Amino acid sequence: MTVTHEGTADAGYEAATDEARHEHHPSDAQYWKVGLALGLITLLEVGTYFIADPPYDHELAPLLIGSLIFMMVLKFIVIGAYFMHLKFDNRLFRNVFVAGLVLAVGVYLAVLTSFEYWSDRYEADTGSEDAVLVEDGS
Amino acid sequence: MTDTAPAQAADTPTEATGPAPDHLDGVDLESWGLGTNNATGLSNNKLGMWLFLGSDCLLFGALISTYLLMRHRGTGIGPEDVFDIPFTSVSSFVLLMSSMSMVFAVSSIARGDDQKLRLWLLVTSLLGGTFIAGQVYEFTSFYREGMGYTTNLFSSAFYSLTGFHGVHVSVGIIMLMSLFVLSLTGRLKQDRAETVEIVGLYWHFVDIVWVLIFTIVYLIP
Repeated sequence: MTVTHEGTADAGYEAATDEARHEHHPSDAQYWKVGLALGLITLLEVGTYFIADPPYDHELAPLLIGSLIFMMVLKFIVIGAYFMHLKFDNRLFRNVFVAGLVLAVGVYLAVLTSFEYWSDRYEADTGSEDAVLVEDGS
Repeated sequence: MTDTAPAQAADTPTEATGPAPDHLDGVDLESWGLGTNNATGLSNNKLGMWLFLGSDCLLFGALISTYLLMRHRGTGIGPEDVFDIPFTSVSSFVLLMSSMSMVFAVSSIARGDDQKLRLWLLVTSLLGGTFIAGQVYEFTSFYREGMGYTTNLFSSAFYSLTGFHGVHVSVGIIMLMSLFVLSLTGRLKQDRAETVEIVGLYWHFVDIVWVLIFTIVYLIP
């Protein structure tokens, strides 16, 4: 294969113009709208907490906690997409960040699972610092 | 020319790329972070910040999962005894608004409006400072209620997680104030808009980490 410097240069500047075309950052008015939406979601989060204070003791606990997690993820995505420009920037930036995020979530979900965090047995162990040691026979 | 040319192009961008084609006349590539030509055509600095933020996810992932594992392991004082949700909600809102002011700082320098840039940098720093002041107040009141760093596993995990986040916010404030001083002394002009954008990325990351902490630690204790 033969590659010339001229070819590389053209490709580089084509990529640059392509990038510039895609760098359509939101206007200040759009930022205000996004900020307002984020503020409202935060209000909803706090409101959800106070509907049943605390939510985990309420009969609708799974629904309330599910709503809180949904709103948390929504805020995360909106800030990443608009304020951090991931929606508008080159995909490589998004991929680099998402790779770290997915790795972190995967690794630590595995850690929590290995500690039986999701099981009833873990719940039964809580409340005593010695619980794990006793169970291990240490 | 052999097929080693792309590698050479990446190492010696100026030689490899040469002058900009005519259709890019008048486009300020530097202000868009495109001046740093490499194999991807993207800014190395910005890519470096994204790599750092991706790796920082692992740090906070470790701290959050440790907190989840430890929060009910231990006797004595627990989350339900100390948390003040209305107070922390206000702190969270303040940090969220600081992200707003940061995007205005970035768009101000992109327009070349130095005065607005300085104003928004100052507002962002003040909001960040308010958040930190709230955290110091919260830690102090927890300590007075008998929750020290080594009181139990919950307290150690809680202070480690929120303390590390607080350190990140503090570092962000230092970076913002540095930008403010650079702008004041005329060393931060429109052609260095990417610098502000990169600091902005860090600041927004600190904000999204708090979005997670606020829900996982405070709202679902």
